[in-house]
Amino acid sequence: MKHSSFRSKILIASLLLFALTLHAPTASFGQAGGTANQTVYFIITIDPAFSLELKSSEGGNVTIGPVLPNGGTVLQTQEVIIHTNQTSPYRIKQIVQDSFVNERGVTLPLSKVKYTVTNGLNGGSSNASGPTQLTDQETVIFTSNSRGDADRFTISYFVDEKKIIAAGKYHARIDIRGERS
Amino acid sequence: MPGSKNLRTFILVAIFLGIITFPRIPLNAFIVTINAPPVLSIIDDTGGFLLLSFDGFSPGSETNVGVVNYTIQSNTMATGTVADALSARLSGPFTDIEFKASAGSFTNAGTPDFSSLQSTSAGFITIGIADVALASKQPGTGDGDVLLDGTITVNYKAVLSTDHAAGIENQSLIVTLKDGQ
Amino acid sequence: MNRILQCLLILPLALLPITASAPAFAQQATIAVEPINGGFDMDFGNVKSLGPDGELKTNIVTGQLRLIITNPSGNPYKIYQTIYSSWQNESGENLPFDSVQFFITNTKTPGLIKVPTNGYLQSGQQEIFQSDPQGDNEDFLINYTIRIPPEQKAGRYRMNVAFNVVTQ
Repeated sequence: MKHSSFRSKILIASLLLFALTLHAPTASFGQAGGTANQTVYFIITIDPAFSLELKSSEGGNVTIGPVLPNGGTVLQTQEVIIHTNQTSPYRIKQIVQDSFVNERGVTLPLSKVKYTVTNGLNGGSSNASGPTQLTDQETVIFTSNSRGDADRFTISYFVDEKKIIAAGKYHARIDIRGERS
Repeated sequence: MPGSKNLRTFILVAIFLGIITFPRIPLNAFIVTINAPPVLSIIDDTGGFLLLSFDGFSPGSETNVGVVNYTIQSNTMATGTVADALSARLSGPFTDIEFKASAGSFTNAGTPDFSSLQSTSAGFITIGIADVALASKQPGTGDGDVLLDGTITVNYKAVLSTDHAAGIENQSLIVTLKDGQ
Repeated sequence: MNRILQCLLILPLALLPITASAPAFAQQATIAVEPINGGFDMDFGNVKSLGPDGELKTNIVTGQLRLIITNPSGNPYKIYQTIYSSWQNESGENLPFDSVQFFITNTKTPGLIKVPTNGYLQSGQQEIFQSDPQGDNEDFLINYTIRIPPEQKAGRYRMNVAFNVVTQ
């Protein structure tokens, strides 16, 4: 009698346990819908670049002429193209190196040469929309849009001389420079 | 100097991380040439003909005085004095007629530093088939010395040297502006 | 004797439910992602979109990612490449996904590559591989080719890419 009751209790207990585990979540052969993740950062660095390109009808240089007495305004243009892949605003400056001197050493005052600058095709703005005298000071001539986008504009140089000027070819070097605003 | 080592370290680290970049400073230079070709110009207002009529046929008879205004422009005059800057001659001789000219005063159309023309004689001088100086170039100042811009009046008349038959004689009057170079 | 025999019979029965509910974790699939050039990030390095004299650059860079999948479950699985942001630099400029092509090579099993040989990066969850029916372990390469658009804005572009293995 004692043996059989003990045996029965063990059997019932194990059957109960077994029944319970049938309802428990089984993961014996892989869980249905299980996921595993791994993340990785993708990184690439694009180098900054900023350069200016000048385009005149002479492949970079500008010749104004012939300047004749009472010949009216004689004009020549220089296109400035800004290449940039940056997103910071910039400005373009002009500086005249030396005076205009001809082959006989005669000087033409800078004030006799004037220029105007167009607005940019891409939202940049001119700092010399009206005729402005050349000076030997570094002068801002153009300001980019607020994003610092690439742009292009045209400088027109002219001699509006109603009085005659001494014969000759006068040369001066002009530097165009870009810098961050 | 306190702090300089930290600053140096910071700069080195910043350069290493690319925070401080050293892009090439974009500078474009070009030459502007102003071409003022040489000008040596004299224009009269006669329309090509000057008609002088005698008031008599006896020796000493004179014609009316023909007045011609010349517009003079030059940007290439020799510096200093040019004795025969304005000269005149006939293409061929008149028969028994003395052709005479007298240069008046010069009106400067340029700035006060420009040079000027001055009549070579107070009264009328005889013009033959060889160049005769009517006016000399007087020096200007500074860069203006090579410039001439203005008007000068020349009076012309003819005088009979002997009795002369009625008729019309034609000759060409060649007035030359010389730059003295 | 009988009692001992009976205990011996009952004991395995009692133990059976315990073994049946063994922990599930040892059966989970795992995925490891390794850039071929080493490190933890898929870094394509420095590249130019604009030359020093303003000349447009159309540079191409490549990189390879190694995916290693272990799957003890015996069930089939799928692998997804998941991107939920754009590829942006510090100024908010985007590198467009149509600049990036990728293809899968060096698979070891008869599982199916689910992307064309030169498909483009896509936003969202994109299935890239389906295992064979037994869910065999895999070890393959994803090859990325980036064509930098000319004049693409300068900067350091960064984005998080997730790879998920989902067992059926």
